[in-house]
Amino acid sequence: MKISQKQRKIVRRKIIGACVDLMIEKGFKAATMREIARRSEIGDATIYNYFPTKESILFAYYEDHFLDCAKKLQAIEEFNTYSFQEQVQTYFETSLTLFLPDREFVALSYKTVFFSLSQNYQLFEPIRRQFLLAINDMLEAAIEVEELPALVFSEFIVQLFWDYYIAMLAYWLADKSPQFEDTSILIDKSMDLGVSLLKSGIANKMFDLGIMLFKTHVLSRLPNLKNHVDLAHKVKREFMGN
Amino acid sequence: MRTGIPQNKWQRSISGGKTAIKVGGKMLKYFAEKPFLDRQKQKAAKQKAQREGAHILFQGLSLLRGTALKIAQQLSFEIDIFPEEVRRELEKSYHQVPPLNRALIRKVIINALGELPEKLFASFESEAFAAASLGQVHRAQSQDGQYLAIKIQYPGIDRTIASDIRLIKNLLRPADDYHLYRSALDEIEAHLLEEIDYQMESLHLVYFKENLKLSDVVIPEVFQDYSSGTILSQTYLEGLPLDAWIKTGPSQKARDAVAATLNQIFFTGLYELNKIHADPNPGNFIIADNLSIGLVDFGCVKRLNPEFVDHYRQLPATAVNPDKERYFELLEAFGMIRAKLDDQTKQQFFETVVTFSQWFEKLFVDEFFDFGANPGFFAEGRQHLDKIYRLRKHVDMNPNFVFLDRTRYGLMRIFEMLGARVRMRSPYEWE
Repeated sequence: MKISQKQRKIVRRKIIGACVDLMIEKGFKAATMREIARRSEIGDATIYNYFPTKESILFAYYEDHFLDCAKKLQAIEEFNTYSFQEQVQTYFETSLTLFLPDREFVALSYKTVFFSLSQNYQLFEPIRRQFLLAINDMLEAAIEVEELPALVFSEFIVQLFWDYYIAMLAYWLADKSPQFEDTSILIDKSMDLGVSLLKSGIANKMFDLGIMLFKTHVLSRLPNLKNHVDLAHKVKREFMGN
Repeated sequence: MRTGIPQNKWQRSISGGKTAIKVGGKMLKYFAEKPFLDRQKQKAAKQKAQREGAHILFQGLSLLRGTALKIAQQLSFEIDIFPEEVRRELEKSYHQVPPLNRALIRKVIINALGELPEKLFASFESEAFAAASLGQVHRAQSQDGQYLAIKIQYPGIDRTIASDIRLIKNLLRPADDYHLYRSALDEIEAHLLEEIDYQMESLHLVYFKENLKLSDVVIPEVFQDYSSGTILSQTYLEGLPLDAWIKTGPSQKARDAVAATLNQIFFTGLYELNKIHADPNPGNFIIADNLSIGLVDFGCVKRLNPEFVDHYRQLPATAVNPDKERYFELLEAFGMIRAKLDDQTKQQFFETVVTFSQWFEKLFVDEFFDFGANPGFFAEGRQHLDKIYRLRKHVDMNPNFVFLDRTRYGLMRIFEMLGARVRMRSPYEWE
């Protein structure tokens, strides 16, 4: 019997939920695919129609998470009037709020996912892409309304936000203050700093500095370099017996 | 761009440490020069060192911002540790607490009330319409259509107050008159903790709403469902804050009426309830079209014991008809005189008080005092008061005085702003 797309989604969510629960109760190793299948009330073999490995369930959790975050942000009425800082900050806070019921699971799994080795790259990339797309949208909007200056290397800056996000997540997982308010303060303060750096056009200034150094120290030596290259070619030719 | 409050204590101690080193440096310079100066110059040099020390202390504290800045402000009102220009600076920065942006507001609301603002309220304005002490106030509409004022606090403030106070105590410990600072600081700490305790404030609101029944006074209602320790929701009061209202150019009659109501609030609170709304900031009085006064911000409420109030009641009359013995009896009853004073100090003290009283009694000569016809009256009083504070070596500040005086002088400052004619002779103090 062919099941509908909608049905498939429901089962997928169920499996992820079962995996989260089992991992919190028993840890990553002790939670087996079979147990996850049973807890999600599907056949021991059926689960493999959804996920080939246990790891892939973890990755799916985070992929869904960022999709959910995006939906939550879209539901905020005035979100488009928020400043860049407010948008990013709300994004982070929304993410942490959604993580809250599964906090123990996140603590167990985030390293596996966020610091994943190349073998899991295919699984990891959609998660990161989801996040970067969101940040990129916010950044582009901020540049468009001239809240931020146009930035060179804006792709690189967007990627910095990913590392920043992971750092905030790690801080949150270790935070012992009531209602994790220290994390909120840290995000608030560090965003303040980060955004004012962006506003000051620091990346552009560093780029200018780099260009100056490159011009004076590299480009000016190019003629010299060319001699070396010519020499190398000459040696190579001789060596090859021409 | 705004810079952050260093949140953790270790970081805070570093910037405190820098200040301590600088203050220490100034004092060291004084001690190094001391043997070479004659007595007169020694005194001047010491004063200079202290003054510079206060200046640096202020710089250090404003670096910490948030609560530390607020403590510095309050300290400057209690005791004249800061020179005039620093005091002015402090008054200006009164509302310099880090503002909450929309992301943080959502977070604070969800933490405190368990739901996002759009779910809780029919509408919620994300721009604050007023600054509160260590927080800000937003307008919202409840699901059943009532307009609310929602006061929101910056997260983590409660945990920084204690460490800030400890820090400042460490800084001030080497000072000569540390005992004065210490009692003032203890009082300020208790007061700040009270001010950020919105649950306590909602109790005060309920109390005053039930007990302060004056015809021209409106006290907002608390909405417990939308309140917690860090969020306080109350009825939104229509009208203008007093300072904004003055700018609309109200008539003399209207200004006099408002001043009379303010006076009535103070005296009824003090002598009937033994509890006063001790934060006479013009922003805390909302004037409606019918000239009724809405009282907001019950973060600073002072309860006074009946015995103290009874002594205090006699003070204006005694100060105006200076009977030396009677006056000192009264001060001793307040516990203000430290140990036995020698006759010379007593005389000096008394003379200062007499000049103060000569200023003070002008208020009571006629039935009404016209603040509009006496500009600069308050500034003159401040000078007399400073002289009294300079005698503080012999005096222990009764902490009740701190708040009572500030409230009373704060009110007079408002009367001056209003240029109002006010009946200063209260039936409670003048039979």
